[in-house]
Amino acid sequence: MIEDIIKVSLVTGFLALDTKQVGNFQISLPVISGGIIGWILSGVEGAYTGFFIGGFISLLWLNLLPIGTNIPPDSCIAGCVAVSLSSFLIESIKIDQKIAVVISILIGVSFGFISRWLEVYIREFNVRLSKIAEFYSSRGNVALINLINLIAILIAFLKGFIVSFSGIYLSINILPKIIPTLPYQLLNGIRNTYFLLLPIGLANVLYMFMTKKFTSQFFISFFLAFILFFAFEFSPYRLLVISLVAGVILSFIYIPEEKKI
Amino acid sequence: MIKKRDLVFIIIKSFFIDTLWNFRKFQNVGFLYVILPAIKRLYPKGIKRALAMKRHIKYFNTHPYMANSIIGVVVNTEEKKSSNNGNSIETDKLKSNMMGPFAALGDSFFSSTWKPFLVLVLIAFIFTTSNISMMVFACVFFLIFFNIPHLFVRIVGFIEGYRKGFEVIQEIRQLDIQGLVTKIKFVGIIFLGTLLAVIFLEGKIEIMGFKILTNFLLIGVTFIYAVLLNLRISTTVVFAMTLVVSVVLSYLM
Repeated sequence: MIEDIIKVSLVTGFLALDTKQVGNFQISLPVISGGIIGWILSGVEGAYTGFFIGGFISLLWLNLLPIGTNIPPDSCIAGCVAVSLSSFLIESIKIDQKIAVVISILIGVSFGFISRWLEVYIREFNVRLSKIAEFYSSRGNVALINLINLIAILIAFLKGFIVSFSGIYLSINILPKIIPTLPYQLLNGIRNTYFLLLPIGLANVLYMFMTKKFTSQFFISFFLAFILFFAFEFSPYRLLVISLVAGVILSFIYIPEEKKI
Repeated sequence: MIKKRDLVFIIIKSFFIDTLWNFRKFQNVGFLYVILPAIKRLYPKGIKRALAMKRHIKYFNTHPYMANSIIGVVVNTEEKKSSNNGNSIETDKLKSNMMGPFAALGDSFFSSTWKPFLVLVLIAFIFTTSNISMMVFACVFFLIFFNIPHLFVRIVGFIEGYRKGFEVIQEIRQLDIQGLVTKIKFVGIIFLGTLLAVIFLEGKIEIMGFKILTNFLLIGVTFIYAVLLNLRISTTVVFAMTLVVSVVLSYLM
């Protein structure tokens, strides 16, 4: 098991670099990184859980942007810890998958905040590295600038690795002892939360996209989809594709061109 | 003169601009790290190189994708400066004038609109299918659609900035980014309307045999959550509140 935790933490460390330090290709988006981690741990079944947990965490903090000095919680670490933990919990103590998912998300989210807290310290440490870089740059030392950048990448990787390793390791050693002792009502309450994860995530997107200007369009699309689903038995997949195409066409018809930013 | 190879190196290094992000001067070291190939070529050794490095390790902060256009303009200016054809424009002023508007542009398009929209579409297709191949396909699609404009802005932004210098600012100003943002949000809201109508219907959630009733309940709950978020309650708090309420209700029922 320890080998699996190390393997997953190494992958998480690499994936987490994409959040800020290297590239920003969005491989670190929890829905993608969660799917990868789930697949590594439990194959196809794990990938399913990974996509679900990662999907929820992606939506949960979608509105928090890293603008200026603002640092949002680390969604990549949160997703990877949650997916790994749920996989280990389901295998080790055979609890209901829904309970495992909610508990894992809870722990993952906490470690997402811990990772953010550490990120603040790393950026403060980067101030020192920056001062060293400034000193040596005034002497024309190119090699040191490259070395300092490499050190910064290494520190960021270690942060991802250590946070995810400690998160998974501690949780799988503590939770199997606690969960079986929890009362039925508490577990049932946790289980019911599972059904409300998607509404929370979708509400966040609704909050981000909804403007007074587009309220009518939202409800027209909502009721139209309802009618097409019930009266004409359109499949959800078909409806989603239709709405996407219709949305693109309508946007060109109804949104006027603006000349300048 | 800067060679093509240097320009390629600069583009590759630009993916590391945020590596040493710090609270004092933000992307200062990242900026210098990116333009080092140009500095090395233009100022082979000595005091000139040191001065150029010192010039470019000052405060810098912008959206990482949009930084490349600024880097392109700066490399262009440095090249002119080194061959003594340069005018008196200070690169410091140039950078500080460009980074604010470019950051706003990047944040408004990439972070607030394009990414959330694509995540919404990705999640929609993942949550309405049980086919793992379709899920993987949706992820690949997301990565392709996100990274096409991302890489375009990085690569073309740098090349145009280098080729045209200051003119690139005027060209970017002429782009209707705000109109594009409005269009994407319009498509997003139509898509979200459809998604909310069908996502819970397709699910296998059933409470006491009343599947449809549960679906309406979940749609209603989504709207309540949206109202809570509108009241500036964070999503994490909403999640924690949901957990607490579920447990309390479980004890009461």
